[in-house]
Amino acid sequence: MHFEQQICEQIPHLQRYALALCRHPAEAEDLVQDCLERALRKRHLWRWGRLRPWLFRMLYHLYLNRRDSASQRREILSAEAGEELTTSANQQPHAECLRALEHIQNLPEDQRTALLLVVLEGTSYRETAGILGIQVGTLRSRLARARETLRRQEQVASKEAPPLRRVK
Amino acid sequence: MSSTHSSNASHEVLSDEQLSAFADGQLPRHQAQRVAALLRRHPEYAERIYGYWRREAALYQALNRTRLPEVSLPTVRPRPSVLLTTASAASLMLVAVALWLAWPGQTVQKSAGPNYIDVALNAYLNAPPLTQRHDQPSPASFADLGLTPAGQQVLQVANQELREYRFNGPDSRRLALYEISTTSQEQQGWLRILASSQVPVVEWYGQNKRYLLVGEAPTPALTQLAVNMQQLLQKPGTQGPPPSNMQQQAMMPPGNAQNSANRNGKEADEHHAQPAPSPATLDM
Repeated sequence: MHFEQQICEQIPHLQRYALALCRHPAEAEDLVQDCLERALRKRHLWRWGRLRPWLFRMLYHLYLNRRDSASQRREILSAEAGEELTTSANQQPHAECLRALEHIQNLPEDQRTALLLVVLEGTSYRETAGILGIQVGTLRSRLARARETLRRQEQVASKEAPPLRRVK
Repeated sequence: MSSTHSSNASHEVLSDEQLSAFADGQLPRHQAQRVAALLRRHPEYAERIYGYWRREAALYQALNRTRLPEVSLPTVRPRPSVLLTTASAASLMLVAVALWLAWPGQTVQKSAGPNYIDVALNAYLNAPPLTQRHDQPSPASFADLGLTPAGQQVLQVANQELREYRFNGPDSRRLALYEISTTSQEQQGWLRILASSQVPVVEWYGQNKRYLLVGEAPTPALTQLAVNMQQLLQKPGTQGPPPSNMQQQAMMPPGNAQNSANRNGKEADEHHAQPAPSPATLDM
């Protein structure tokens, strides 16, 4: 299979992860475009290994660069910044999906990126660690902490939620 | 006794990392077996793992269904080495075109007027069924090429008539020959093969006509058929059969070609012998 074809196959996966990282569709789109452009320019650096980790590593580094430069500039990156993630209305159960999105956005960055990659792409620990440039042990502890944080957040949320009251 | 009890209790404890790795199916087999055994004894751990999966399924659902605009591969400025290669290829192409133009009898094809190749392709690909008409089934008899007339029609394109002759080839392959009148004597005798379109097209000029052959056939087979048609069309009063060893080979699968050639050769001997074209022509 051609290099370009293999890249095309990964585009939906890159989009999904980019959106999960950026939270804003326009930013995610820019990030994926940058990643694809860089991949095509740097194709001579690809060593005929698996393309997916290479692309995701590139996307992740581009994301980190963008995030750092944005925090230095303290600028809003796009006109759509602040726009909420749009989800389709027929999601079931919709409330749980929104809650999951809200909770994961409260996680520390390193835990969030790791958990999203494993959850969305189903990558192995070794592959994920390679993409994020960390040790497998570090990844394991980040994932465990992320999951426990989410669990506690959910417990707190369920305690704080007002009990349903019968109206009639 | 108490030390044994605490030892057992410590074996009954699972760390968050173990639970998380088990949830991801990333524990080594022996550890996964131990965790699975513990989960059976301690449902609270199983509940936690179930909670991970439930939350992550919701997260996956939320993020996976979020719509993003389509992204296509961007065009990339080529690297210097690629630029050099491209420049070299472009130079070579320019030289080749210049040489071709300088060759006696060659002129540039005029691009004015409708693009008949597109018209022919559209007509072929979106062909509605035709009623069989026998007033002019084809410009020549191609029966011995294995082609059965399947109808014809006249299309009007920019005040110019484009005649479409449809044929059914062997294996029910659909073919169409398009004929356009032209006063130009350009490119007489040349075949132009367009293999990049959805179906291959072979174009040639002859007898003040421009022909386009379109068909569901491999490009070499279609080209060979075009050569045979070209030869038949060049013959004055071509309603007779084509030369014997042309017959049906063009559209036949390789295994059948030899048998077909032998069989047709015998028939040709019985009826009338025609001069055989050179093998080089057929091997195009």
